[in-house]
Amino acid sequence: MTDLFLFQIPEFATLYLLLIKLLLYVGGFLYLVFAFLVTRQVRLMKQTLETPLSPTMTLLGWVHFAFAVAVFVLFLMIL
Amino acid sequence: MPKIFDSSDLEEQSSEQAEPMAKESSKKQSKKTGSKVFVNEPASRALLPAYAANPVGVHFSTQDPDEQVLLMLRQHPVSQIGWVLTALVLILLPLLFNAIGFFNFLPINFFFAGLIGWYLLTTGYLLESFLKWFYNVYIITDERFIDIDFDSLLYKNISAAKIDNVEDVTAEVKGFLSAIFDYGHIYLQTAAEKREFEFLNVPHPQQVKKVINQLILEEEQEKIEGRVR
Repeated sequence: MTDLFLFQIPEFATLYLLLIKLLLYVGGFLYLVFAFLVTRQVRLMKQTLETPLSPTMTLLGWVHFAFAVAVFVLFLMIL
Repeated sequence: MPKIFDSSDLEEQSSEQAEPMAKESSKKQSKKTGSKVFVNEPASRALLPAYAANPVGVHFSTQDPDEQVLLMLRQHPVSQIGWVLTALVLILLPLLFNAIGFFNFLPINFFFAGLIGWYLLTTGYLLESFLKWFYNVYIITDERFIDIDFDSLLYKNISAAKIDNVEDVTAEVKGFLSAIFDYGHIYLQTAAEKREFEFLNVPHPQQVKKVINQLILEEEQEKIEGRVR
């Protein structure tokens, strides 16, 4: 209820949304870095242990990275 | 006892028939690898096994050219229930909060972005947990025991112990789930540096212990016969 009340004040709502926007941008970017690190990690894991599923794991890492890029771009577009 | 309940004759007959084939296969294997453990075991081709005897296509970075992987172990899937349940809660949480109108104050684009971000984090958590389970393996070769650990993004540890350094093997099944699903810990006490090797939550611990004991005996036999590599 307090949140709803505060959102009725235009200045506060603008500030609140700006903060969330910033948080999502920074979070999205940090996640992008994490997703890239995961692809490096998968490569390292693959070099250490080779299994019949290794190519699938590499693909999984890159699909995850692509998903992170897509989400970051989406944040830039819709926020 | 009626003949139909007495399988001793049949066993004798079948063992007589199977013996020459098994011996031949065992000879071939021992010629190639030096180990007779798992000679008659079919090669494991399962994609996500927690217990894989003679796994096909499995190699590790420090493997010698003539070293054969006999057994690859991962933690039993039941022991991974923690992160699976956590992921399930993370998936359901936004639905719950949305149902009680917790995000009603947010504009629709912010709500959508937050939701996507949340599920992205959940995906990351799931992927990391899965990769950790998949690549943290215990390998038993005809020469060594290998423990490959990836605890985080930046931590990698490979420990190895030669079979002839192992002095004592202990299998431990502790807890309700372990007893039901037959998984537990294996502790290997090595002579060198007085270190203890741990295979945690591995399937069929008694069977693994038996295999390890067989390998230790084989190694001792090799030493006596002067065939140590």
